Order: sequence, then C-alpha cells, then structure tokens
Amino acid sequence: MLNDNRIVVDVADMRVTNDINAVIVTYALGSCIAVTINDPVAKVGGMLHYMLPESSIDKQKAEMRPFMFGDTGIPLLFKEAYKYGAIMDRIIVKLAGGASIQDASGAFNIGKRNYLMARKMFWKNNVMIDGESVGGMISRTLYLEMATGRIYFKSSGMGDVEI
Amino acid sequence: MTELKEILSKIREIPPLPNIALKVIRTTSKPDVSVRDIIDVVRLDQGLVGKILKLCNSSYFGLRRTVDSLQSALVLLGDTALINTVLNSCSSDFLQKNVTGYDLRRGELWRHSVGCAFASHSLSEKVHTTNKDVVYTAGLLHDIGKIALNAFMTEKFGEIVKRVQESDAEFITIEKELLGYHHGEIGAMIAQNWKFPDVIIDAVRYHHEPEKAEVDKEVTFIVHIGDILSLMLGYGCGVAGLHYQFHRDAIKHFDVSDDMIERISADVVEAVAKADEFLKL
Repeated sequence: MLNDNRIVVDVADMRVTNDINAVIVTYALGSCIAVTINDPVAKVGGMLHYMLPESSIDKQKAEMRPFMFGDTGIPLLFKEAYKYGAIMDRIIVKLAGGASIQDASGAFNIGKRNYLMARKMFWKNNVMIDGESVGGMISRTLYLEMATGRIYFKSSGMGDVEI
Repeated sequence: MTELKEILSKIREIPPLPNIALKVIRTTSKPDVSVRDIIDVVRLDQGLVGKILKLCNSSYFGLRRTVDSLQSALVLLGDTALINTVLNSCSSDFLQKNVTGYDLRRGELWRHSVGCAFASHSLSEKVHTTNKDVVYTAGLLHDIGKIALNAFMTEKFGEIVKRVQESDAEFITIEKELLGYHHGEIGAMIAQNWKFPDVIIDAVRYHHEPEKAEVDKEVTFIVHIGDILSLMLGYGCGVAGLHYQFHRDAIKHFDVSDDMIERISADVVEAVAKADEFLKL
C-alpha cells in the first residue's frame, strides 16, 4: 500500500509537487476543468482546477486569483512545474471536467467554453493533450498518483476510470 | 412506489429547525422588515447570538476589530451580511448532515445551499427584483426535501445509479418514478409544516420547474438559476451529477448575460469557501 500524502486542490487553485508519495486530488469537478501535468523522469506533477475560461471578465480577481481562469492558470501551472525541473517535451498533459447541465438555451455552456479554452491554449503552444475525460453530465473527482503517474477519476456510482 | 404516508411520517421524524430559526426565517421574509426587528428576535436566543459573534470574530470575515455585540456586528458588516449570517447560523446544523441517499457527504449539501443562496441573492441585486429579501432564504432552503427523502433514496440507491447512468432523464423524473415525489415537492411540504411564507414554499416546490411557479415567478426563476450555478461549480452534485434541466425562460425573463453569470460564479466560490467556517463551529 502506498503512503498516500494527499494534496487537495481547491476550486480556483493549483498545486505542484515532487513528492513521490503524494496523490494530488481535486473534488467534484462540474463545469470546471482540471489540468494535470506530469513529468515521469523529473517526478514532478501538478494540477490546476479552474472554473472560468477568460480572465478578462474580472481583471482584479484575475490578479488576486489567477487559478480561477484558464487563460491565466494554465501558464502558471507549467511555470511552476519547470521550477521543479520538469521539461516540456516530457510532460504528459491530461484534462477532466467541463460537464454541462441539460440546457437548450446554451446560456450555461461554461463547461464547453472552459474546455475550448484549454484546447486553444495547448494548440497555440504546440502542446499535445495525452488524455481527457470531458463533458457529459457527471461530476468528477480527479486523482494524480505521483508514484505511478496514474491519472484517474471517480464519479458517483462508478469505479475508478483511467484517463 | 413509496407511499405518501411513509414519506409524511419521515417528514415528522426529521428534527425540525430550532424554534428560533423558524422565527428568524419568518421574520426575515416579511415585507418591509428592518434589521432591528431581526436583531430583536435573534437576541432572544443566547446560543444563536454566541454562534454569530464567534463567526464574526473568525477568519470568515477577517475583521480587525473584536465584535462583542449584535449591534457592533451590524455596524461592521452592514444589514445584508448580518442578515445572511443570521440565516446561515440558523440552518447550518440542519443542512450540513451527511445525505447518503444522494451521495452527499457531510457538508456537501451545506456548500451547495450556500452557493445557491449567495448566487440567488447576488443575481437578484443585479437584476433589481422586488422580492430580494426572500431569495437568500429560499436559496438556502431549496433542497430541504432531500433530507426527508434521504432514507428512501438510500434504499433504492442501486436503482438510482443505474437510471442516472443509463438515461438522460432529469433527476427529478427519476425521483418521481421511484418514489412518487421529487425533492422539491417534499421540500415544499416541509416548508408548509414549518409555516414558511407562501413565496418560499413555492420556490422550494418549483425550483426545478420554475415555469410552474404560482406565487412569485421571479423568486423561483432566481433560485432555479442559483441552484444550477451552484451545481455547475461542482457543489452538491452527488449521485444526480448535472442531470438537471435548465429552463431558458428564467434567463430570458431577466435578460441575464454570460458575463453576469460568470462574474457571479467567481464570487460564489469565495462565499462557499467561507461557509466552511460553519462546519467548524
């Protein structure tokens, strides 16, 4: 049994670690997106849980809480991982979340827009997404197991689902 | 299908909100109520006063001065924050329970309810509705039906999971198929039992079917939007996930923009983070 040093990432938060025994977790992703990155050689992993796509909506908030937004949070996640010795070419990137309510009006399509923001940013920076579980109507709790690099989620009534 | 008789007996079994809480909620729901009237009611219960003052002096507000009376709390926080704190203090014990039948661990229903109440109140201020005073309360209590249905849902949990996974049906439809009633209808019966004002009973009953609201459509529309926002942020989804329908009439009625929804979401997260302080009291 692994020694589970749990590192919890709250909504609008980001955590990076090189603790090989850590499990990084974020609970209950609804329409928010979690981005996980993992360099298996440097043994550096990180997770961002952002809730809105663009920081232009509230500049002051973006300054105080940059992890709230995809466009300000994603670059900071990578920068933090580089500080720990992660190298872009080795980083494995996976995404989860971006669920939606049943909404014919499209007024509540934040989940989809959150996802598109991640896609756009990775595409612009030539970063490949190595795996994802996005959309649908489920809430996901996402785990990154540092010892194995395993990334999986749990949802109510379901077992572990690998990404 | 579960008999109404059984559900009604379950409603009688659930420990009611304390009398002082019922009194506060009824008082805050009256038109033209002043913050002084509310303080006069709260003052009758030293336990509640203690809880509110403890909260005022915690990191919840991060105030630099010590708050030693309701009077100074009013000066430092202002009317709205004080009233909402009183309402939160009255209902937190009741709402923070573990609701296993909905797969909501301790505190999850509480976070969801505060998220909904805060979003509802914030939206009502932005769109200038007339019935602002009751939307916070209605938002806070909209899911009380889940507490009464918890035992029945726990019994049928396996079947619920199966239906959620295998169909796109709305969760209230699944509840109705399995129990005969959904949590809005049962919540309204509880609210009626507690003699809440009609506008709150109506919003609790129809928060997932707002176009059916009979007393004040605007209040119900707002609580509907607040509920959906709180779910989308991941608060209190549980076994239902996001298997709920958004009713476009609500958005159309107020002409709410995407920007407004996003700004409110950003504030909701901060309000819910603070609400965790109640779990420590």
